[in-house]
Amino acid sequence: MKGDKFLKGIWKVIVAVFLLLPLIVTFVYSFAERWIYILPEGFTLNYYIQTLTNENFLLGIVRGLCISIIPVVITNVCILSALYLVIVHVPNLEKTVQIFCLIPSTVNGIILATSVLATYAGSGTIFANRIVMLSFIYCVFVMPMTYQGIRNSLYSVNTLGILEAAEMLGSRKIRSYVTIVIPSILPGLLNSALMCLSALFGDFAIIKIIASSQYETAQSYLYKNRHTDTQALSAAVVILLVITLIMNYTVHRSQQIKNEKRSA
Amino acid sequence: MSFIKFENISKSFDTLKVLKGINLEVKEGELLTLLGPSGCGKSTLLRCLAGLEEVGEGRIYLDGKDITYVDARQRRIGMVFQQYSLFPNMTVRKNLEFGLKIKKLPKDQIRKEVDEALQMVGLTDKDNAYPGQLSGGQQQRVALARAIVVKPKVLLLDEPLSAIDAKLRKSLQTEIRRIQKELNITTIFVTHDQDEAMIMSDRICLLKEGKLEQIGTPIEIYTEPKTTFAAGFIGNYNVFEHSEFEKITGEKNVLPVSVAIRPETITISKEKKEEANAYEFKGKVVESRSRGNVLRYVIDVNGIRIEADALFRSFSIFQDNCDVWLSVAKHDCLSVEREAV
Repeated sequence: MKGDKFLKGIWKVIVAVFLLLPLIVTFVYSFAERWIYILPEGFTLNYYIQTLTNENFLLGIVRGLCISIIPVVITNVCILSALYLVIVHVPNLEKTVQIFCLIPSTVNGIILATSVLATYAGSGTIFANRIVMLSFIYCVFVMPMTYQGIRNSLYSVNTLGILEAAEMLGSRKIRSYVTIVIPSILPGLLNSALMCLSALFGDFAIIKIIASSQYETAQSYLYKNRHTDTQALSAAVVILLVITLIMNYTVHRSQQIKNEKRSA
Repeated sequence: MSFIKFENISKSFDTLKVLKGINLEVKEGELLTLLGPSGCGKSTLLRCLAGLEEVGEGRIYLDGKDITYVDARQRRIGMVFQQYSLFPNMTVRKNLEFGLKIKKLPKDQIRKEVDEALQMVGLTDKDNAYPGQLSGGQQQRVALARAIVVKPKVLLLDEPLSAIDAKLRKSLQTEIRRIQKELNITTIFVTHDQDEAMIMSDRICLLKEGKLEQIGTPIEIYTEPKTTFAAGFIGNYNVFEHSEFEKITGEKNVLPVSVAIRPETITISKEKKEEANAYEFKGKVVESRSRGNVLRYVIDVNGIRIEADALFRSFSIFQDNCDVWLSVAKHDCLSVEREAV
């Protein structure tokens, strides 16, 4: 019994080390002054100062956030609207909507990007604009995850029951949906939005195919400069990781406080 | 004069007809219970009155006005749902204020009305709690307060106690009845629990397969069931074909219809009693079950099983396989219609 526990503990440590090792090494490497032999020869903040004063990198972060947030917002609004219609007016269409929303999960992101590029690149429409194209590809890319998150949240709060109860008190269904249902599912909504945001913020493959020369994000900056100063790049990776962690923590913390208040 | 009138109401979901020409009137200030098994159409009828379902055929009148096609928001009907449907992002007070704010009442009045409603349901100390912080019983009381605070003309209760444990359910039954009487609000209560219907109602409307089976006061329904379904659903009656009844009593042509006998009207004894105006027959105890203060016996009489109740007293305890005499007054053998199969 004791031996089993010990073995399990050992396995956990091995897995944790295996997963965390690249991160730890990158972290240490980003502070190392010179690292030629087994141990670094000293530590410095120079690479962080250099990276944080690099205009291209900072602009890349802002661009990366913009190109991630906008599609996530558009997708959330679209799916919330579609599911409102399904729940309130056309419940028979639920299966169809589900199929449409989940289809993108079966298509590889690269194939999706090249197909869209081939279809719209020379069309002369607004969709030929690379930024617009990228935004809509991202919308499609995050649709399955967003749909599943929102759908589960809506059913877990008994949406139809709430809308009917509010209707009996004189409120329009659409108003109740916006003022009662959406705030009630906000924790779930934000969680799925965050996951999508993280996935898009970390993408460089799709952006490279669609708009790398026109729209450089922090990820494509890293990709472009991968053969230059590797310590400065490590610092950039750590900075991006910290930004993602801060975003996650802020949203989780605010929701946690709200949840604690509601169910204490 | 009727306050609510259902006139020939029919309703179908695709090919399934759930309401078949319901005619029903409800008086002002009364509590009417729609009782019936699952799928009999009681909730659908309630939702038609609320305006949450469209009526297929027929008309609904409320206080003399035709409301068949009036929007649910304009009907001035309050409703309590089975799953409470409280607004999870709002405190108890905000839940209650919701309907009053839509009516655009002044702030002072809203505060006063909410305080009164909270006091009525005994939740004054919970006004800042969120629904997730309340027990099932408390949530149901909030739902009730939220429905009555807007002063509706009619209160609809759709199986509001079905998710609550037995003990709490009993206290809430009393509480709902008290509040209904205090406000003198016309109320329609939906349940599939006959005991609940008997306790709470002024009148009971028994539904079966989308049709009105019988309507009357609890005592009328209990003592004078018109059909074998009503007899079986309401009072655990023993229901016999007339041929079976002849076999039990050993007499020919005693009653030419189906016969219903309540278990508690049958007397069990060791000896024959030789009573006038009563049927007496011998049987063998097959099984006995304790139901608290009452013992229910299953007795075999000429191959037919009869259920009989006796108060839990030492002289009324009979062992299995014991021979007993059963006696039932002739006026307690009710003639009932057997419904077409």
